[in-house]
Amino acid sequence: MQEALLKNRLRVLRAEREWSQGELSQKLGVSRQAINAIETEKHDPSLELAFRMAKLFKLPIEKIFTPETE
Amino acid sequence: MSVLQNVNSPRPMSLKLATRFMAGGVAGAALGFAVMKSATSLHVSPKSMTWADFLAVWIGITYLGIGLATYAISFNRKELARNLEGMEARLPATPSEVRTSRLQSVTLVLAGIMMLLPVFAMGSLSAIPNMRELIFLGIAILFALQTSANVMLWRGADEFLRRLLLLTCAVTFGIGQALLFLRAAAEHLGLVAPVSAWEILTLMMTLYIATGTWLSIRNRPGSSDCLNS
Repeated sequence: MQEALLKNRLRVLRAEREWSQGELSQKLGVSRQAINAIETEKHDPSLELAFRMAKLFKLPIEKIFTPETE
Repeated sequence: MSVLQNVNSPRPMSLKLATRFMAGGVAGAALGFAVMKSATSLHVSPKSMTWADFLAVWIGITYLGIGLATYAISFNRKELARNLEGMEARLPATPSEVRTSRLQSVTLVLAGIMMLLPVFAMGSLSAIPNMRELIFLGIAILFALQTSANVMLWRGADEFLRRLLLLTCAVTFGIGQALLFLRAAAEHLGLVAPVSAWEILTLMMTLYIATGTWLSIRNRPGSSDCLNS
């Protein structure tokens, strides 16, 4: 699968809240594999999922995701 | 060690994982032996089988084996969670994950049976009047059931799993159509012997399994998870 074009802080944010991948996947309504793929930057989430993450972590999207080039 | 240090620490290859591979190999060999024993009892002679038939039997056994293993694992929610999330998964699989896993096992087992049936029908069964038609009817019914299960899986999948499936199909089609085009051109020019639809199908399914395996390995849940360790 194509590597993700975005860097993200999902793993760190999840660790700060002491959530497992399984717990985060339940909160976001996606599979555990999806969380793992996003954290390991193998998959860029859709805009809709990125907004759900931003809402969950109470952060702007750009505090979670940054373009690879930056 | 801090939380963030733990997050980035690599996970060593587990002995448990190696044991699982070994157990899977032994179970696969046993299943293969059982299937070939059944074929022999139905007087399906290996001498009468083409390379495509052997390939179909291998594909059928592979699907059956993975399907039965998936079904068995779905009864152990902690083990299923480890399969989905990695060896350090903390939460057991949810009822929804168990349902999805069992549905996947149904599609795999049905696919395995559908690949094996045409080969098995070549033996003593084919001598019974109308048996070939009955077997084909059975395959058509299984196909309809399997398609329904696949649609249910698709509808329940999230964006990542859908993307993975679409990518598997796209890679299979891309490579498959290229090879088929070259073969068809050579065949049309009379340079090679014609291939049957059965031969094309078995090659395509082999390509599909290879692509799916490659993508699954690339996307396996292998990253360490500090919160679960």
